[in-house]
Parts: sequence; structure tokens; C-alpha cells
Amino acid sequence: MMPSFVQSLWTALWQDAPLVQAPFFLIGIASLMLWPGDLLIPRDQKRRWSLFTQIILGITLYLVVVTPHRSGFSNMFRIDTMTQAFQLICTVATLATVVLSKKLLDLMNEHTVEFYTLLLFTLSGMLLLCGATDLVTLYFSIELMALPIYVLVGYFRDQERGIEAGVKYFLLGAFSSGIMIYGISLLYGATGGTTTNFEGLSTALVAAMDARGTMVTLGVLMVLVGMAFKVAVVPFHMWTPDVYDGAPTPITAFMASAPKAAAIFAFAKVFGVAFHNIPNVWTFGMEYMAAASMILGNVAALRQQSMKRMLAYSSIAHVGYMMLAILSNDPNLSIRSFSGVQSLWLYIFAYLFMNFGAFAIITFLQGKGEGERIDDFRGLSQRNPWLAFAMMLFLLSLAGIPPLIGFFSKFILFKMALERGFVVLTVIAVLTSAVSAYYYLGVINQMYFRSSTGKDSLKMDRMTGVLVSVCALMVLLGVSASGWLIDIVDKIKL
Amino acid sequence: MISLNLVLFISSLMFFIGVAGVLIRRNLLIILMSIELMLNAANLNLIAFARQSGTVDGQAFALLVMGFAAAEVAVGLALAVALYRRKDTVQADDINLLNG
Amino acid sequence: MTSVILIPLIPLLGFLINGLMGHRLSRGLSQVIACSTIASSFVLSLIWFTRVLASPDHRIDLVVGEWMSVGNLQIPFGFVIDALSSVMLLVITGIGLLIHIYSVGYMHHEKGTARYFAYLNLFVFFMTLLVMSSSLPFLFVGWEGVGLCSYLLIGYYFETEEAPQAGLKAFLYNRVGDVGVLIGMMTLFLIFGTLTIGDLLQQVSQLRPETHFGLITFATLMLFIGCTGKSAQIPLYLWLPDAMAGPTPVSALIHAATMVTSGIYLICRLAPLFVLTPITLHLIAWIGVATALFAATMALFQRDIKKVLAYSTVSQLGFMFLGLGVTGFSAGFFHVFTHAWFKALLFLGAGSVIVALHHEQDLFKMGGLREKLPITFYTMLIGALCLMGFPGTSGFASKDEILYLTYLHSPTLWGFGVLAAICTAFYTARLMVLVFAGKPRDLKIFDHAHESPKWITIPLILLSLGALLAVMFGWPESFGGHNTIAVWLHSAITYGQTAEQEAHTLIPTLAWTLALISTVLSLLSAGIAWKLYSKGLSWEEGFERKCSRTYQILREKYFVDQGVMALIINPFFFLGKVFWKLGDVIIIDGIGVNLPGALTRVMGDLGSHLQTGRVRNYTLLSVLGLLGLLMLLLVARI
Repeated sequence: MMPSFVQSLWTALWQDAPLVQAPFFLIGIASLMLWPGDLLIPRDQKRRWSLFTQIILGITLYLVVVTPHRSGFSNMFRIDTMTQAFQLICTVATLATVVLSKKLLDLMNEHTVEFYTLLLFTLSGMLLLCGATDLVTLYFSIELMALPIYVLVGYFRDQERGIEAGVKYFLLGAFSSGIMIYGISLLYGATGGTTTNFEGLSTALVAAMDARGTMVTLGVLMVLVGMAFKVAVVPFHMWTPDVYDGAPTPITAFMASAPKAAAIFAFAKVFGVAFHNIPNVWTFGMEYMAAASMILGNVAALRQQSMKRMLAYSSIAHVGYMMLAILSNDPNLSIRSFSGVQSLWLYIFAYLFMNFGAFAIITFLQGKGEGERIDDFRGLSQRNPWLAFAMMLFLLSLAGIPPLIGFFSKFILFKMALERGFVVLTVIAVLTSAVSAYYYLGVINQMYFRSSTGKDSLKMDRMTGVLVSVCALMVLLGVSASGWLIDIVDKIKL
Repeated sequence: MISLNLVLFISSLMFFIGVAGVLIRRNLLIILMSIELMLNAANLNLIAFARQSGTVDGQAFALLVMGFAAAEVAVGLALAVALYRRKDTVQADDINLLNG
Repeated sequence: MTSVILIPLIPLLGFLINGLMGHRLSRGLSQVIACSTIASSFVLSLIWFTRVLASPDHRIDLVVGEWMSVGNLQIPFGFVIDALSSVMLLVITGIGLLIHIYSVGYMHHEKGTARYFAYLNLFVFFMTLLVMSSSLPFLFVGWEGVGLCSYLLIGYYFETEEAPQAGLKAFLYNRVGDVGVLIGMMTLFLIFGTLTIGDLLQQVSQLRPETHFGLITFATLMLFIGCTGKSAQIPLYLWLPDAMAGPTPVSALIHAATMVTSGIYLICRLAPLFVLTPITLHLIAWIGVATALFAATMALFQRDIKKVLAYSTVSQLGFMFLGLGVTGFSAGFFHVFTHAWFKALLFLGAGSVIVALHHEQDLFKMGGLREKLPITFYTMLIGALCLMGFPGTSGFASKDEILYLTYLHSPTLWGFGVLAAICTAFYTARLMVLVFAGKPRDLKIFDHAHESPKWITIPLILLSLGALLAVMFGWPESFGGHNTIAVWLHSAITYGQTAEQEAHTLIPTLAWTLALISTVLSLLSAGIAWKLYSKGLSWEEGFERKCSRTYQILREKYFVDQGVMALIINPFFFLGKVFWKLGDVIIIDGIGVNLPGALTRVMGDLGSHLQTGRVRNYTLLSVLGLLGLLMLLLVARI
């Protein structure tokens, strides 16, 4: 009896192993990097880890692409094109973070293997989160994703702001996952302890709604709160400005893209599949949350003097727009019509480039001892026209000005939401995105209409140059490549 | 046999004590303990419902949660130590450099 | 065939060279690049103009590729060249070229002109894109782009206090309009399932007019809101007078000849759609005539030469909308065409005066400049006569055609229109007399005045020729002419569909009588202005003393800016103070200048006051959030 059970377990695991090849590769390599890898690299050569990590991430990209499409681990994990698409975004964002961090770590003399291994661990969590199709896998991959980030935020131990941000993020993150796991336990109980699988829940919850309505409602709302914390939706957004402000800038760029992409995809899957049949419980609240995010994010950004805080508030607003996609997601749609998750992917894809471009420029200026405050962009157009032009592209794209890619993704999202009948929300979205032009324009105002205070022209280093140029090209030409993009997205199905 | 409602009652009590602790207490370590209490409330639920349905899924999940709770505490304590070294305090209200 | 893409692309190239490498290029080289790119676009536009003339249905559709394609939404990367767009192209590149050349002279003393020319080239790129594109989203790209360039160019003199503020104001008022365009566009997509102009109008031709307030009316209304933003109509006109803080050639090109007319262009482009919605058309006519009259009265007693012309532009744009509102689409568009010439001419003339007087813009300090600036005087005279609608000029042809069509529609509207025309004649004559006639009022300025260099005068002469000759294209049929441009525009405006929207009754005697009335009244008022002002400022000063209240109201533009401030901004600030910072002075830049800014800033305070920096407040708020969600659910259940 026993040997055959172990045997069957072993074969099952062995069969499903290819599904998780990319995260397991990352975990394995990261562990090896810690020991014995780090012993092999002399103390003054630690910066080599940067290149090594980039190569590892390149291999991960390949592994993500070649992962077979199916479910495994008793339906707790599934890989499909949609999952892969989000995994790719996470991996590319991590790669960009590594590129971005090198200069800063050089400057702070803080090159250690831990920085890179933490990034790899958190990426493995994201890759698992993208594929999670069960509340259990959802919970543990969220934790795996979040734990290394708490440390990364407070990575510069001797900077008070960094530590403060790390502690805040940790406390709020742990608190929210406490709420979420309690919600999960209630849902598990409401189904009579039978299932935590998304597909299973979608039918089981409808039945449970009659018998244990309160438990289901509380459970769903608690999961909603937990997920809303992770993606920073009002009123669970409070950590975002402080943490974005205090974290090292490349990590801020990272947090605004990769974990957000993974978490919001998981969000869409939980609510689009597991809770899809009980929309009365959550759509109402979510509509209010989306509207509040759009309004508060854009309005609070107006007052900010710090570039990173401004982008933090703007990211809250952008998440508000993304909530439109989650709300209008309908997995049972015909092929020609665009589903919510597809436009969500496009939106995050576009956001990735604008976001990293802008943060790359901030990081670069920070390396020169400026760049934290919006005032520091004063007269940038005279000091380095290309940098200022690229920054203008990113900001205008964030504001959704055509023909940049940000307009494209926003337009598609709003159009879809309108077609699904969210008229009021779409109007709020359009109006608030018009308001957002004001604060983005404030920065452009500084760059173009203020003269610099006697600082000489800036010379860009190669890495920043490449990163900024790639992002600017994508932002500028992304829409022209939309045919190609859409072809990809068309293949993406939940 | 203890009734399920009683378990639910106890777990929710634990959960709310945990939430209240996070809200009221100022010491980081106690906040950390309160968060653990919230997690354990969830664990209690998971185990009770697993027993009720006669499967082991819930119990396995509870083990997993415990594992993560331990990891979380490790990270949390590390951050608390770093904070203490830097600012000589572990009071939550003393960290408000970042605001606005 | 693909050379049509080059029309926008060449200026874009000029922008890239000047914008990114401008600081390394010599001054002369960057000017040559800027001018030659526009010149080549102009030549291409001419070639395409003749091609369109020769083509059988006066329309050439080009699809270069797919721009974006999402599910059921396909947007081609396509251009349509027909009468409407090719005329606009000629205006943009032709007048644009003259203004580029003029700028070489005008910006002579400025440093860093590479940036200026880069923006100007970028503007031409977006503007040509706007008029050529064959789909609405693509048109919207140009629409936003020209707004951006306008913002960058208004704020060009960034050392001054008001220029960047004015730029921001312009951009924000335009953004308000853009929301309308975006919503209108999406509504159209919901109704018709396409945003390609050709397909859209194809479907439109099968519909009956919508007499009640339906979806199509809503869509056109939203689009019209966008047009009021871009073309400075009530209620979104406030930004245009402030936009005069930019360099004068910019005011001529963007804020008189081209960009501000894109609202009219959009409505003409979608004319068959607007014909379906009489409610919107009615509103357009009334907004148009109200703006025409309102702005004309505001121009009466302005002291800044550019402000007079700015209000005059707002007023003339109102005339164009009046024309569109009474379904005289080709008449309205013809006024765009003639107005582009004579208003650009007037602005450039004003610029020449300003340069001659070393940047003095106050009318009361000018006077007697006719001898000193002969070329400027004669060219500006031509422009002024056109603006007044002197018989035989292009302004007469286009404006009186609009007024005639208005009369057929509603005599009341016509009455207001004539009133606006009378005011127009008055302030135009006042401007000319104050600048050129009489005795110099400030001898110090006068003695240093000199005629502008050739870079400036040659474009003036060419523009005045254009203003004179423009009439040849469209002597209205109601005045017994053969209206070439209207016949030709007809094919573009109906987009090849057979429709009756342009079949107006022709009553030559009525047309002549009406024209006679408005012309005689206008000339009379111009004559009165001449008489009153040729003796100097004594009359206006007397008027100020006797009717100080009326004078004040007109001078201060009906106190609209101040009213916005008192009624909307101040109460908000009062509330903001009470709520958050009792006694704490909230300083915002440009109170009263930035309505949307001020509004949102106060709300921004609200947002960031929640952000105390304390973790426990954050956790409390999130628990309250959870409870709030529960409450919402309970409320929704009940």
C-alpha cells in the first residue's frame, strides 16, 4: 500500500515537473548562488553577479516560453498562453531591474549576492502566482513573492527611509495576508471543506451561497481585501506612496511592474473564475474601489513634490483603470471580442515600458545626486535633450496622449469597459485621466520651461542609454506594432 | 464532538483579537504576534473543516500556513532588529518619516 | 502614390534633427532645415492638390497599413485626400512656410531658435496628420499632438511669468474638450461599430435625422464640446486670449490660421453625421453667434494689439460655427480658408509693428506709423479690409455668404450676426487708426521705429496677395458668382453620398439686400471709429469717464475670468481652508489662471492628508475599508 502510494505520488510529481521548470530553476540557481556560489567570487568582484543574474534571467525567459501547456499538481497549477504572457512580463521586468540596479549598487558599494538572489526568489514566486489555479497555491506563491520584497525594500540597512519603508510594507503586507488567509479558510469551510480549486469553487460557492451566505460573503470580501492590498487599490493603498518613496529606486520600479502584474493577474483569475458566478457579492464594492482609486490616485498626485511619490500615486490610479478590466472580464466570450484579461495584459505591457523608462531616468539622475524631487528636472532639456525628450514621451504616454502606447492600451481598456456597460466608471476614468495630464505636464514644464541652475550637461552611461532608448522606442512605436501585439494577445486565452 | 459553530466562534474571536492587537498595540513585536494570532485563527478553521469533510487538504494547508508564518516572523524580526539598530525604537508610531 | 506619407513625415524629420541635435547645429542651418522641410511638404501638397483635382470623384483614399486592430475595432493607417483635406494641407503648409520664413526674421534676436523651429515643425507634422487621417482615432492623434505643440510654443518665453501658465491653461482647457471627443468617439463606435470616417458616413447616409435627443445627438454633442475647446468657443474660449503670450508667428499660425480651425474641420469632415442631429446643429449655431458677438464686443476696447486680434479670432471662429450650424458647411469652411489668410496677415503685421517698436504692444503708445512702416501698413490694410468685409474682398464673400444662409435659417440669428459684424468693423478700424494714423503718442518709441527686414515684409506681401486672391475661389453663387470651392467642397463634405444638406435656395435679390445692409452698417461703424479715433484718444477717454461701467465691463471681458475665480475657485479654497488648514494660507500658482488646477489641488490636499505616515492609521483605514465594503453590500441588498 504505502510504497505504491509513494510511487504514484512520485510519478505524478515527475510528470508535472516541467510545468514549474522555470520557478524551480530559479530557486535552485538562487540557492546555489548563496552557497557555494558566493564563496567562489572574491570580495571585490561581487559586481559580476549582475551579469550572471542577467544570463540566468535570459535562460528563465527561454524556460518560460517552452513550458508545456496543461494543468498539473491535481489542478492546482496550470500553464496556458495567458499565464506565459504574464510570466514573460514579470521576467522582463526583473531583468530590467537588474540592469537598473547595477549602477546604484556600484555607487553605494553594496554589491552582494543576496540582492540578486532575493530578486530571483521573488521572481519564482511571481511565476508560480501567475500559474496558480487554487487558493492554496495562490496563498503560498503570494507569500513567496512578497517575503523577499520586504527585504529588498529595506535593503540599504543604513538608510532610515529604506528601513522604515521595509517595516511599513512588511506590517501591512503581513496584516493583509492574515486577512486573506482567514477569508480563504472561511471559503474552504463554506464549501464544506471540499475544495479550494478555482474551477471547483465557481460551482461550489453558488451552492454554498444558500446555506452559508454570510460565510461566503465574508470570505470573498476578505480575499478581495487581501488582493486589493497587494495591487494597491483604494482604500488599501496606503502603503504604496510611503514604500515607493522609501525603497531604493530600482526596487520601486520593480514593485510598480512585476509583482503588480503577477498579483493583478491572479486577482483577475480569482474573481474571473472562482467568484465569477457570485458577482453580486463583489462587483458592487469593486466598482467603488476602482472609482476611488482613479480619483484619489490622480488627485493626490497633483500635490506631490517628490517624483517617486507622484509616480506612486499615479500607479494607484493606473491600478484603478486596470480594475475596469477585472470588472469587465468575462471568460465565456466569443473569440473576436476582447476579454478583460487580454486588455489587462496589454495595459500592463504598455505600463512596463513607460514605468521603467521613467524610473531609469530617475535612477540615473539620482546617481548624480538629484532626481528625487520634481524640481530636479528643471532645465533637463538643455542639459540632455534626448533624456528630456524620452522622459516627456514616458510621461505623455502615462497620461494617455496619442499616439503613444499608453493611449492605445487605455483606449482599448475603456472601449471594452464601455461595451460591457460600465458607463459611469468609464466616464470617471476618462475624466480623471484628463486630470492626470496636469501633474505629468508639471514635470514637462520643469524640463522645458525652466532654466537649469547652472548645472553642466549630463552624460548618459551606456546601460541607462540602452534601457531608456528601448523603452522610448516601445512607447513611441508600440502602437504601430499593435497588429503584431494583438496577434499575440489573440492567442492569449484564460 | 465539538460543534463546528463553536470552532468558528473561537476562531473568529482569535481573529478579532489579532486584528485589534494590530490596531491598538504600538510595539512592533506585539503587532507581529497579533498577526500570528490571525494566521492561527485561519489554521483552526482549516483543520476543523478538514476534519469535518474527512479530507486532509485543509490540514496540509494549515501546515503550509505555519511554515510561512515562521518565515514571515523571521523576516519581520530581522526588519525590527534593523530598525532598532538605526532608530533605537520598535514602536510603530515612531516611524513616520515618509508621509504626505 | 505613397509620397503622401511624406507630407507629414518630412516636417517630423525636421523636428527630430532640430530637436535632438539642435544645440550642435549652427543657427542658420537649423533655420534652413526647418524652412526647407515645410517647403517640400508644401510642394508635395500642391502636387496632391492637382492630383485630387484631376481624379474623377475628387477623393483619393490611401491605406498604408493597419494602425491598430483590436477585436472588432480596426483602425487603418490611412489617409484621405479630398477637397477638404487638400485645401487644409495647402493652408497649413503654405501659410506655415510663410510663417517659418517670417520667424527667421522675427526670432532674430532670440537665442536657441532650434528648439522653436523644432516645435514648429512638430506642429506641422501633427496638423497635417489631423487633416489627412481617414479615421477618428488617428485624427485624434493629431488633435492631441497640436495641443501639445501649442502648449510648448505658448510657453516658449519661459523666462516670463505668464507664458508657461498660459501654456498650461491652454492645454488644460483643451483636455476638457478632449474628454468630449473621446467620449463622442466611443459612443460613435458603440452605435456604428467603426471609427473609419468613410465607413461611418456610409452608414450614416442610410439613417433619418434624429429629432429627439438620442445617442447620435449625444455623440455629436460630445464631439462639439471638443470643438469648443480646440476652437475657443463659449464656454471654453478663455485660453485663447492668454495664448498670445507666445511668439507672434505662433499666434498667427496656430492660434489664428490652422489649429483653432480644426474644430470646424472636424465638423465639416463629419457633416453628414451632424446633419442627422438638428438639436446639435441648433446649439452650434447659437454658440457660434453668441461667441461671435460676445468676443467682438470684448475686442472693442482692448489696449494690447495682440489681444484685439485674439478676440477677433474667437469672434471669427464663432462666425464659422454659425455657418456650420445653419448647415452651410462649405460656407463655413470657406471662411476658414479666407480667414486663415487675412488673420495670419494681420497677426504678422502686428508682429512687424511690435518688432519695429521694440516689443511694445500697447495701442495707446503707437500712432502715426504709416510713414515709418509703409509695407506693413498697406499689407495690414488689406487684411483689415478683408476682416471688415469690405465689398469685393475675400472676407466679404465668405462672411456674407454665412450671414445669407443664416437669414434663411432664422432672421434673429442673422440680426446677432450683423451686430457682431458691426463690432468687428469698429474694432478693426480702431486698431488701424490707433496704430498707423494720427500723431505719434510716444515719441521715444516712434523715433526708434523702422520698417522690418525683408524676412518679415516678404511674407507679409505674399500673404496679402493670398488674402486678395482667395476670393477668386469662392465668389458665392447667391451673389451671382460661380462658387468653385463650394462645388468642389460639396463632394468632400457629403463624402460622396447623395444628400440634400447643401441645397440652399438661391434668392439673389435677397442675398444682395442682406449684404447691402450688413456692409453699409459695417462701413458706417468703421467710419465712425475712424472719425472718433483719428483725433487721438480723447473720445475713448471721454467714453471711459462717461460710461465707466460699460467701459469697464468690456475692457475686463465681462469679468469672466474674475467670475470663475469668485464663484468656483474661491469657495473651494474657503472650504479647503475650513476643512484642513484653518488659518493656513494655501498658495497655489496662478490663482484664477488655473481653474482645473485649483479645483484638483484642493482635492489633492484631501488625499494626502490621509497619508499620515503612521502604520497604525493605515491598518485602521483598511479595516474601515473592509467594514465599508460590508456596509455597501448591505445597502445594496436592501
